[in-house]
Amino acid sequence: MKRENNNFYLQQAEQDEINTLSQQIKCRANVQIIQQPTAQTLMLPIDDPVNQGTFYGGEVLVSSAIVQVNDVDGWAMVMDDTPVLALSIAILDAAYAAGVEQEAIAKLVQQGRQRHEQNLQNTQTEVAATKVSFDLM
Amino acid sequence: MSYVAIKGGADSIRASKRFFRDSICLAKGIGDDELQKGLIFSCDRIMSEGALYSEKLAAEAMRRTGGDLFEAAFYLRAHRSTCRRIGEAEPLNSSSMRVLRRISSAFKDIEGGQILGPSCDYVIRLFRVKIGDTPEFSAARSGKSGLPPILTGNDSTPSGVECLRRRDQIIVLENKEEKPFDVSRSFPLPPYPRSALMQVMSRGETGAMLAFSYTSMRGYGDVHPTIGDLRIGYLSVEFIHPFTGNKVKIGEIRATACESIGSFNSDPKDGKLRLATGFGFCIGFNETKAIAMSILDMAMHHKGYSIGGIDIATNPEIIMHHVDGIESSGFANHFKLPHYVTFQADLQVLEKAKEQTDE
Repeated sequence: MKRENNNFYLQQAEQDEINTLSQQIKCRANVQIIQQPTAQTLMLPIDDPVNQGTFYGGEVLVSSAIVQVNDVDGWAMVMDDTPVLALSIAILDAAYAAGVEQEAIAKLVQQGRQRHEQNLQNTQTEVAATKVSFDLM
Repeated sequence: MSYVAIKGGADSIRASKRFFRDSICLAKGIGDDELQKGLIFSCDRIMSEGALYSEKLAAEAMRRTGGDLFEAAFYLRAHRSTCRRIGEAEPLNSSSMRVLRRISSAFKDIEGGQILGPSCDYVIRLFRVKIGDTPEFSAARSGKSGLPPILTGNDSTPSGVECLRRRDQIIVLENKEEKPFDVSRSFPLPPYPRSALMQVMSRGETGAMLAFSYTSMRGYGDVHPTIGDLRIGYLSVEFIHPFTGNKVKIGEIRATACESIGSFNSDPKDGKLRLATGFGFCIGFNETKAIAMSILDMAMHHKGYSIGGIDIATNPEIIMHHVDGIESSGFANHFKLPHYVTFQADLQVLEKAKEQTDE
């Protein structure tokens, strides 16, 4: 399991379970909040095929937080103004790196991955149904 | 023009605000899901024109404005300016889009195939036909369509124009910028950098973009493009993990991209004849805006599309200053504010003029 995948898949998992697990980690390990979860924006550079350059297509609202679990750094950045989720995933990120509750975290990541893949599968089924090859008259 | 401050009326203003809130109070009962997933195209226009991707805030803005898209986009643009900007995501490339819909009117057979996706292009606009009642839709929704799934989610789907580019039949404009211009921090002076024009159009108001591009399509210009590649789908937003230094997927955004192909032109690079193209991109699903943007892009960057040099769509000065919905609606609405003193001055000038004419 790659640590970098956790950030996205945990956002797809059951949020109550993520918050509960992060609370449990807070009780069992030394958790320090280095940066409170805050809403921020990320610029979106878009590749421009006409001149092979880039331009900004807008910004995306994200929430990020930095924590330490047993002196190991953890970070999360999640979509939209969702500070509670950002903090919980940051705690899980640090805990995973610190070897705390790794099995429980991996289970939630797996849950998120399965949900995401199921969504993809459903969408792709609908997409496939609209694939077309028009005949010329 | 000078402005004169007014005072008083605080109670009436409060009552007016209350009256407005009361008139749209039923909107409070509409949930995030209903707005974000049910009125997806409204949400997407708000995010695109507000230049901020936040489905949560787009829904909230819709509730607070009773669905007034101009006002809702204003909320997002205003909120954007209050947030700290943490940096830039990794560059997004439309060829890596997880496509839901992807069509080309230039080529019948394109790599990856033509995918009609979710579209109302084929819907008869008569109320007696209900989209949700068609059996095909219900079957697909419930996952019982019986069709083999295609899992192209992480694959790159090249643009339909790419084959022409590989054959050196497309004009590639010179990239004169080391890094893109950001109009949200400062506004450039003419001649406008391409990236600034593209950013302004990307957050432009759909109606304005359509109207200006329509001038060129209809006759006050000469762009009549073929859609080389039009797609809607999801793009991954990635950022660098501060502690591992590796890329992390933050999430996915809905987006629309369009590459239009125009007539052939002399390539400024070597004088050879090649096809001109234009690019349109916006966050959210909005095909009309992306097509309009690609037409304006082509019109502005290839002077051959100008007729007599007096048309609108080829003029960056016009486009740069007139497609922003927040600015233009703000200007139009400011006329509602008290102009008592300036108007009295106008009347006095009229009286003086009459006196002098009578004399």
